[in-house]
Amino acid sequence: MSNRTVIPFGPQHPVLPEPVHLDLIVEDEHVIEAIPQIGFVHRGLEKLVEKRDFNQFVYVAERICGICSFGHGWGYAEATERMLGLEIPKRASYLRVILQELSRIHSHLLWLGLLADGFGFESLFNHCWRLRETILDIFQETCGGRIILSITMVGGMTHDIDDALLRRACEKLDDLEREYHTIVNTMLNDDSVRSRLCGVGTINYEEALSLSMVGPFAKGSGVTHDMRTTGFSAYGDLEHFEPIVSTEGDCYARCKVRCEEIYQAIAIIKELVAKIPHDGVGQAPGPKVKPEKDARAHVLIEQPRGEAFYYVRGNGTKFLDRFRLRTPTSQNLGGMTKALQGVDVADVPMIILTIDPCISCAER
Amino acid sequence: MGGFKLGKMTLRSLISKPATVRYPYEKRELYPAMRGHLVNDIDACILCGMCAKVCPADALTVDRKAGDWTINPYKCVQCANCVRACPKSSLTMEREATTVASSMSTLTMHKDMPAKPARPAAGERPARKLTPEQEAKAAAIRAAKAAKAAKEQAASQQAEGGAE
Repeated sequence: MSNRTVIPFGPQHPVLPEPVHLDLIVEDEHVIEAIPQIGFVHRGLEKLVEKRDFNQFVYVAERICGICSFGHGWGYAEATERMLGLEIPKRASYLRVILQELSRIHSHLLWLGLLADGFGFESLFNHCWRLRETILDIFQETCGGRIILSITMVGGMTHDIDDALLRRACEKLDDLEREYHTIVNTMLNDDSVRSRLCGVGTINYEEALSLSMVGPFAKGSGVTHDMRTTGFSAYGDLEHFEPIVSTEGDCYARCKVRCEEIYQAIAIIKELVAKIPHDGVGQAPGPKVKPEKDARAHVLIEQPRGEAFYYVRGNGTKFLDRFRLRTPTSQNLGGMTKALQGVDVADVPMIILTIDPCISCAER
Repeated sequence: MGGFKLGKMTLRSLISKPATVRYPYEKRELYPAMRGHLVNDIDACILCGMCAKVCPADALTVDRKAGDWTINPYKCVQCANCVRACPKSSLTMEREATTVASSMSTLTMHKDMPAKPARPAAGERPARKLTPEQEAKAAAIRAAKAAKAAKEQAASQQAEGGAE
C-alpha cells in the first residue's frame, strides 16, 4: 500500500472566488477522498429576519450573494407575497423574469471567465468578463445598480422600466450574442480547452439523482430538472421552454450546458420584451398589512446555479418568524465530493469550478 | 476542432479601442436611474421620521425635538426605500457616488421646527359647532345606541326568565 497524504485545498486558492476548504486525501497523484469544510463566510442572515420587518428584508435577502443577488430578492419577495395573498401585476412578473434571465447571463459569463482563468486561458477570461460588462451596464441603466439592483419589493417592483429601455437592452444583447459566438466556439471546440475538460470528473445520471444535484451540474448528467418548467411567474407565458441537457456528465458537458443556457436566456428575454403587458408594476402593501400568525408559504425558483427553495413563516406581527433558504450549492457539494474521487490532483480545480460553487449563498 | 479559435477576436482587440476608460481623466456617463447618494432638502422636510423607520440599515436618525436629521453615509446601502417613504418628497437620490472622505463622520442637518401651540384648558376650549348633517348623524348614532341597549336589556331579561 502506498502512502496517503492529506493536501489542504483552500480556503484561499487562485481558482476559488469564495472561501471553501477541502481536505484532499491523496494517494500518489490520485484523489481518494475529498472532505469539504465550510463556515468561513457565515453571516446569520436568516436570523436577521426577526430584526427587520418583512418589507425591509428584501434588501437583506439581496445581499445573501453577489452573483444571484436579484434572484434571492425575488425569491423572498415572491414567497412573502404568497404568504400575504398579494397578487402582483403581470408586468412586474415579466420584468422579474427578464432581470432574472439577465442575471443568469451575467452569472454564466462570469463563470466561463473563471473557468478559462482556471485552465490558464487568460485572454478568453478577459473577453468573457468584457462581455459581462454589457449586462452590468444594462442593469445600471434600468435598475440603478450594477450588482445589488434593489428593484424588487414585496408587492411588485419599485419602479417601472420603460419599453424604450427594454428595447435598448435587447439591442445590446444582439451585439453581445454576435461576440459571444466566438467565445462559445473557443470554449467548446478549441483543442486545448477540450483536452482539459473532456472526461474529467464524470458523474452519471443515477449518481446525479441519488445525490440530489440541481442546476447545470445535474443537467450535465442528463437530469431534466429545471424549476422554469413549472411555469411559475412569467415562465408560464413562454411559447416553448425545454431545459438544456447534456448526457456525458463530465466537465465539458457542464460547460456546454452553461454555454447554451446563455443563448436560451437571450431568447427568453427577447420573447418576453416583445409581449410585455402594460398593467403597472404593483405597489407596496400598506402599513396595516401584516402576515397572519402561522401563515406560511414557499417558492422554488431556478437560480443560475439551480433550484433554490425559499420558505417564510409569519407570526402575526410585521416581523417574520422564520426565513429559510436552501441554495443550489449546498445541494451540489455532495456531488462535488463524489466527482473528486479518483481524479488527478491537477484536475481538482477544474471540477470544483464546474459545479460553480457559491459559498456565500450556501452559508448565508 | 483545432486551436487558435480566439485568434480573430484577439487580433481585433489589438487594433480596436480599449474596452476600459482612462479613469481619472475620462469618466463614464451616469445613467439617470443610478443611485449614488441620498440628499435631503431640509426646507421641505417635516422631520416626521418615516425615513428612519423604513431604513433597513439603520443609517438615518431623526430627532424632532432637537430638529436634527442625521445620516450615517457609511451605513447607508442606497436602496432608496426612504425616498419612496418620504411623504413630502424631500429625499432624493443623486447619481454621483458619495465623495471620498478622510475620516468617518455622520452628516446632520438642522431645522427649527415651530413649537406645537399649548393645548388650552378644558373650560377655555371653544365648543365645536356642528353642521346640520353632522348633527343628524350624531342623533342617528345616539338613537341606534339607545335601541341596541334596549334590545340587550330585553334579551337579558328574557334569559333570566328562561333560567327561572
